[in-house]
Amino acid sequence: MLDKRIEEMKKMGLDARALENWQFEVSVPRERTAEVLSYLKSIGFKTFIHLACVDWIEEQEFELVYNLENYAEKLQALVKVRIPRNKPEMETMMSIWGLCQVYEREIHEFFGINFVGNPNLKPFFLDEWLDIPPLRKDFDTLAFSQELFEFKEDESHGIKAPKRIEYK
Amino acid sequence: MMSEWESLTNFFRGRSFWMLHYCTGCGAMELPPTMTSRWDMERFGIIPMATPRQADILLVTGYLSLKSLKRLIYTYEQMHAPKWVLGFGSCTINGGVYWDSYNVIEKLDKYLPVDLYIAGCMPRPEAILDAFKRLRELVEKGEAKGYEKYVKNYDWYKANQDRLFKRIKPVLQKPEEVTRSA
Repeated sequence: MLDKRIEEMKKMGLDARALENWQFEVSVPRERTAEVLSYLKSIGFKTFIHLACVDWIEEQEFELVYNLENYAEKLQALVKVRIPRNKPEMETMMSIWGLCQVYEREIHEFFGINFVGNPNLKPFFLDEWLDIPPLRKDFDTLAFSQELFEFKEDESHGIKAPKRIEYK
Repeated sequence: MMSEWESLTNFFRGRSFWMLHYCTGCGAMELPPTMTSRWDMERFGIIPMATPRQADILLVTGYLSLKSLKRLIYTYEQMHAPKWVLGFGSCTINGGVYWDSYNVIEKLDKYLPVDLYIAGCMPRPEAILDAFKRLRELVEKGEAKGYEKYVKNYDWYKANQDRLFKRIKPVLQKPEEVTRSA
């Protein structure tokens, strides 16, 4: 069943490949996202599970991942859309799944992506947030934390602020 | 020196703690065994209480995000004196595993007067009972005076709280600078 679905995606001129024997990913240009998602919904991927975002800072791009599930065939589809990082805009997918509203609001808060057509992108989890969105890679959480919560080396209580370990 | 009346009231206060457990984090897991038959904290006169207005102890179990800290302060200010705050787990001491998080506070002591910390991640029920025993000793000696400290140094605590809740400018840099360079 998985091979058949990947074949279908390739026939539409899209780049698709299997990740597991129950999961495949498909890369979609931004303009065709609504088309591909509504097609997938029509062939059985009826459940929208999650909308995730990845910050590819070296390539100056955001990657949105629409995670869909087909319970009848026990398959999962990851629809990946790349958008430029300097102008992060995306069309809302609320017409396909109304549930997208909440996920888009969350992504807007944590990555600063503007979802055109979404009526409510007000702050969601963070109170009084004025800095750049916190899950972007160029946001320094340690510097922010030390600045706001004032937890520094020279403080009393005999507790030293820990140092970040850089993994390579 | 305490008067005889004070030492008498402190004796009885130390033997009937009513506890409000503010379960923000994973520390809530350790409380059911502490409350129920295995460790049974009721034999020390400690029972969980449903409302802040009737409670003596505020047990903060775990990390506090900015949102939950705000609620915790409301809760603390609703409680009647005498009241004591117990910081539970390493998250209330120095942030624990959330030490570099953008949304979790590091030291509870800057925002509320903590009388006693229970170190560990997680502290076991024995450690919680030990902390209650020590708090009882402190109360009997008249040394656990966090609520008086809070009233006396209210401007300091309030300034620390406002630093988090009434921000008017970005903490690190201006937002437009970053979006342009990105």
